Amino acid sequence: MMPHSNDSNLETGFLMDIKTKNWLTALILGLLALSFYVYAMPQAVRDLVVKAVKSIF
Amino acid sequence: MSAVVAEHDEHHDHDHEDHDHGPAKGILRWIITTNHKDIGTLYLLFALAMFFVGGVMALIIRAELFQPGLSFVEPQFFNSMTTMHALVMIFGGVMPAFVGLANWMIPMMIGAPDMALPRMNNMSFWMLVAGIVLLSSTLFMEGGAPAAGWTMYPPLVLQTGKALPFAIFSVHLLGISSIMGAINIIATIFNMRAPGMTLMRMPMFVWTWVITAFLLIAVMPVFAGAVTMLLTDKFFDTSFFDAAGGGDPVLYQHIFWFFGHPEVYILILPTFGIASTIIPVFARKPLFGYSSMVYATAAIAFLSFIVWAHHMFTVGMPLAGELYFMYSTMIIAIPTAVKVFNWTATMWKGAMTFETPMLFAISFVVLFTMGGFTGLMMAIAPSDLQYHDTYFIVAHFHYVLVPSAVFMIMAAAYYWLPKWTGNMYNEKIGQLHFWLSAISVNILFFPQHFLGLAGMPRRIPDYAVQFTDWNMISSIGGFIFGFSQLLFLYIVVDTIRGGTGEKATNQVWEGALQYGGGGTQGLEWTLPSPPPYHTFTEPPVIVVTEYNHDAAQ
Repeated sequence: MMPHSNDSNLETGFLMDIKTKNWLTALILGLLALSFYVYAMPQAVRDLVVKAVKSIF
Repeated sequence: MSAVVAEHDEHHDHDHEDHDHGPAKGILRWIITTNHKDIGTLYLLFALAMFFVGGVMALIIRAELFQPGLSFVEPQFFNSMTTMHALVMIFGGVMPAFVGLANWMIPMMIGAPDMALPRMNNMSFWMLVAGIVLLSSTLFMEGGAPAAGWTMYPPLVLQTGKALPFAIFSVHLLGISSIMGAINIIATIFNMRAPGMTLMRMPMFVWTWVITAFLLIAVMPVFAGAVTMLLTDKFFDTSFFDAAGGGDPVLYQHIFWFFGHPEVYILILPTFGIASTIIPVFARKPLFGYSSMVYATAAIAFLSFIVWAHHMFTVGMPLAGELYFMYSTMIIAIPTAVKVFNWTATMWKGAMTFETPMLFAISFVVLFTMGGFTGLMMAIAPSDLQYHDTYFIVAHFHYVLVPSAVFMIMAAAYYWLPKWTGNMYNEKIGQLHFWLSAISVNILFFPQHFLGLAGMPRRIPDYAVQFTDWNMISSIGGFIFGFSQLLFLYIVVDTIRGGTGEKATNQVWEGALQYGGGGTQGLEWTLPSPPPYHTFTEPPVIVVTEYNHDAAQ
């Protein structure tokens, strides 16, 4: 099954297959949601996450 | 009336191309599926089950309130029931039902072969199940399930026993599941539309969902932040909401309702989309004012972010704040009225027929308007001091959730069941279900306006004797409404098993092909009933209809 997209790629001349385009869209929206999460979380939780990530490295 | 006439039956055969394969066999099909139709079915069946679980909780509440005094359950359990009923119905019933409808219908409505991110789609569903199972498990924990209401206001909610961290974790799971679903829907609609399916030609259901998806991404993290602060207040000695430590419990209310009000629109915008899809089909007329419907939906979504404090007029805000939130809330009536006007104008002089989906849609327009008007009453800050935390509020939001959101979910099920199953449902039982539901839902919720105006507080297991009569009537209505839904269950099961024996045609409804889309023919009605496992593996030919001039441009 081959996914297809609308013809906006052709119109813009921006060459990208539909799978990449979907993942890129998801990445952008995911980062947007993540930034809201980071902004909404209390500082204590942010510090905890930073500490946990630092402990890995 | 079609501007472009094109035969486009050829895509019916495309499911045999591109190495298509059918579903996996057995139970594994449902666990590992990445097919949008399978996942849509899973969401819908899960939502149906949750409607009955939440419904049983509602009947426990109504049984307890049938007469004054403590009759059946302990007050703590009663409070758990009001809390869990709301959480289960919102996060387990209405939201998953809309996601299920989106999964089934959006790819078929825009001519896409599937959702943009099928594996993430599967993950969203199973994360939802995990979240709801975790939430439900709190009923069996020491200290009982959360009992402070679905809003989980501190400091009361911090008295919850062992269940609190589990409930908070379940909220995180449900939030992440919703966000993944929203990302998937946006990516599908933005990237996967068939050539020619421009944004302003999309069916209204697709439009309302893309706007809803943005609301979900914006507000679910806010809710996650609020409950995480509850968690740290309870277990990590912070004082975000504890006045003794320099915090403020009102801060929680501000954060919660910054999420909570858009959440209300997350529940109602797809409802609008379904109404805008069904009414033109059975009125055999184009949707009146397509573009104004799109802009009204966007306006409602925008306004939902700037009105949150109308839920908390009684906390003691400065007068300027009360005035601002009062007027901004009232402004929402304008785009909402545009919609109600457009639905009415669509029906005006239409060649209407009254099949079950249309009956539900008409009752939605009437009863949603009633719920909207009581909302307008509560927007008036000085009046709200009287209504706040009374049964008037309960009546209001149930009018905009039950005969609105839930009715339109059932309307959508009746509308698309023949397409999904290939079988026609029993129209007579469908109409019986509608009339029993429409009458009993009013017996159930209308008296609650009187109770609220007379001063009966919400979330109490016992009440003063002067409230007895209306409570009895409300409970009788509740039980009739609850048991009437068994008819819906029967129809769903019966239709899946063959229904009346009459096979559904591709178009199913007379006006579906012509009026069931946005500015194009309704693409799902060009497919066989039931549609093949994979559809639109090649882009369909879009047939633009001229009936809606601004949509067809």
